[in-house]
Amino acid sequence: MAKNTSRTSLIGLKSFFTSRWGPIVTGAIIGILAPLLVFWGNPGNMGICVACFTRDIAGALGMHRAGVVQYIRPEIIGIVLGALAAGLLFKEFKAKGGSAPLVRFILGFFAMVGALVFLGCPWRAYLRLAGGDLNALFGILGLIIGIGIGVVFLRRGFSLGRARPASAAVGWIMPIAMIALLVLLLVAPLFGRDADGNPVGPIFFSESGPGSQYAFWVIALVVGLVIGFLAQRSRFCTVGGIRDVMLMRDRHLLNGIIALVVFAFITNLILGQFHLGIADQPVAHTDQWWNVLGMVLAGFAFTLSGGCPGRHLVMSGEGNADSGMFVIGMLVGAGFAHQFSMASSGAGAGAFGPMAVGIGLAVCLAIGLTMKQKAS
Amino acid sequence: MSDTTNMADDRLTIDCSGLSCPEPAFTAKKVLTSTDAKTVEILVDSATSQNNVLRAGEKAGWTGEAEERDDGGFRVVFRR
Repeated sequence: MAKNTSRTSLIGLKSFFTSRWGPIVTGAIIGILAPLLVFWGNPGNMGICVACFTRDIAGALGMHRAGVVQYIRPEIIGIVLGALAAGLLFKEFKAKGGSAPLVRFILGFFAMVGALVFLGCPWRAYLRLAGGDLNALFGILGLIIGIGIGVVFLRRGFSLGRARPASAAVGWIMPIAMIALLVLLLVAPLFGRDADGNPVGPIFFSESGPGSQYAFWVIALVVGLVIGFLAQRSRFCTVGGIRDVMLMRDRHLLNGIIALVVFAFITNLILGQFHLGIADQPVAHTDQWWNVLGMVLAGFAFTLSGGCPGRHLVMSGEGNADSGMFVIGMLVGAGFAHQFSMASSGAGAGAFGPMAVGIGLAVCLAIGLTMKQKAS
Repeated sequence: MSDTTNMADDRLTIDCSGLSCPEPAFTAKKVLTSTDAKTVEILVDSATSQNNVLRAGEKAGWTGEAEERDDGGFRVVFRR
């Protein structure tokens, strides 16, 4: 009897989150929690940013040496593990992979390069807007254009091919890697210091700049777990929201984006974190061409890959190794973006940012033009 | 684009297993707005695709129902 009751409530929960309310509730909760994370210590308008936080993790692992953006962000770990928990609880955890993994890696790489030219993933683009940062409008414009280009290729029959069911181990790699990251955050191993007294790694933590601003790790982890759980249930996706309107006149996921912006705006107002303007916005630049073009590249790469970076984190937690490859591509891309001066800073585009966007667009075009589903 | 594996007795079967978003739902939409078949069956491998395909089909004016297959995937059947 007790078993039947819990089964019934599970089914009720299941149908609620796949109803039209699922993405709306998820977007609203992200919209409330992200500004709260800023209030609790995260950088401005960066309660959650999948691109920035993956970049901070790359820095903490020594994959780049931009000293101001190095920290192992528990939010990222939480999102993957929250999705894992939801996947296991609702029996949707399913190990699979093998749909053009190396192409997905490259798409993740250039999506990250584009996002770091703008300075934010789609989630942060909307959160920046909800904090009053009008530069975000240019990023969102670029995102819409990039998704539109991707939609043209989807209409032409673009496909990365089929994923196949895989052994459970394939699906557990990303969640276990996240647990390893959590251990590295808490243990913070240090092999020694150089002659000037600076830590030599292997894990680096910023002493100034955005990487030094963070909420207490337990809070950040719990917020990540909640968001990962909800996003797994509702399939919340900030790229799919725009793509589905263009491709199928379907507003299901778009409602989630709108809820995120509205609730983040209200929460920022309540917390006194809403500052309307263009100049002097936190972790942002006013180089509008590159705000647009960076996100054109990111939106294009996200659309070819099947979702926004938050969605890929979630899918990597429910056993999808192809999304895992995309996430690892983003991690490596973040390392390169800073080592090769492709990432922007508050001063504007990096020295090689524009060239990197050009190369990334050419690579995405080549992928879009050449990959179609083969009859099997 | 996914394969048409069977068309007999006005029944069209399309296998979208393993395809990324939005391919299963977009395929469903394209097929359901153009086919003459009385029954269209779409195979997918995840609950997400199952929900998306059902939503796309219902938007196109079909009535659909989904059932789980032995391999853990789903069969979504649409009837006029």
